[in-house]
Amino acid sequence: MTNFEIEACLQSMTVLVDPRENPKTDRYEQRVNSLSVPYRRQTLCYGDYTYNFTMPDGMELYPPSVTVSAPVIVERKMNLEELSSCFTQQRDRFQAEFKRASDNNAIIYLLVEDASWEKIIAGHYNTKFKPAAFIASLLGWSARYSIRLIFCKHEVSGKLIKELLYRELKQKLERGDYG
Amino acid sequence: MKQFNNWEKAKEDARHMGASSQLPVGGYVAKIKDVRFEKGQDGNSDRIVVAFDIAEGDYKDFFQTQFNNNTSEDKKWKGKATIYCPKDDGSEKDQWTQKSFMRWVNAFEDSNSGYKWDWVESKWKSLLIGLVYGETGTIIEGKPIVYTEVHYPAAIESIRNNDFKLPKLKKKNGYDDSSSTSDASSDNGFVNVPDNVAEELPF
Repeated sequence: MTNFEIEACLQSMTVLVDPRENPKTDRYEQRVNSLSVPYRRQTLCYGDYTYNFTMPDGMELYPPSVTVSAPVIVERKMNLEELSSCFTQQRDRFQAEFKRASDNNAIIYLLVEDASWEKIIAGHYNTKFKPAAFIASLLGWSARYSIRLIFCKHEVSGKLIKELLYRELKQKLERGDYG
Repeated sequence: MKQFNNWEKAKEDARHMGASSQLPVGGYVAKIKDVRFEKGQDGNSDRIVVAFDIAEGDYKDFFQTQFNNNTSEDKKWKGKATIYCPKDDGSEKDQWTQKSFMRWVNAFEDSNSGYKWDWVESKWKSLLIGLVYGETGTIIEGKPIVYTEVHYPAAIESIRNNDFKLPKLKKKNGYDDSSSTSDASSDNGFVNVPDNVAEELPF
């Protein structure tokens, strides 16, 4: 691709949102509105968000009807309580999802809203998951599945999701992954 | 004398020091690298944005070299021009837009043997065209700046024969002759065009 085709692809970037992301919340509205690019709800094999774009031949990378196994995904958790639940009650489901992504060599961003290492270490979350076990799971999974962990305030997660996906797409386009 | 570290890189970098980041005022034979049609939003005219590079002379490949040497993460191709499409609404402004548009069409037809405008702008890609660069003064964030951009297209033979007029300073956004660029200027009397200005203009 020429740099002009790459620029056109980037300008056409949209975000795909997995339907499991609950749309009936204020936070969801705020998040998708702050993506600053169009978005569409479409089933992802794993993860909550990925990118889509229009190729130089005019075709979308992922047409609306397909279930997407994306090379880059953002898995979002709304707080440490939800994340700890994924490591405990929902561990098998969570593990299976990450394994699917890992088996597909997907880049996984785990974005946890309103979280920080300090909160985990101090146990400032409302579950019985011990801080030491929490840290061990989080870092263990990060190593196992090459997870890129990001903590942020929920107010900025939409903007971050878009930026992460944009930068990954740009790298892949410049590297020639899409021709 | 002892050779200092990174000698080869420093030597190469020095080649580009002082080189203007802007194309000087003058006429150039350019080649179209990309063409994009943009639908007008909110009642504004449709527009065609062309990306080009200099095809002949001392400044051949100026924009490609500039692009390659630009290390910023979101670098943009700077050799661009916007051609506004007539709305065909009979207004006086639209008549001016028509004339401006036809000037581009004529320049393409006169510069490329056998080429005839057929309302398919994508066919401009790879064509040659003459471009006359002039100065534009504008105000950005309260500061007056002067930069160069395409002022009008021309036939390539006119450029090669030096048969064109150098344009007067174009004034935008309240820029006037009393505006001083001394604070914002670089050594060569120009400033680097901020990206937001480039956005405002073509791409």
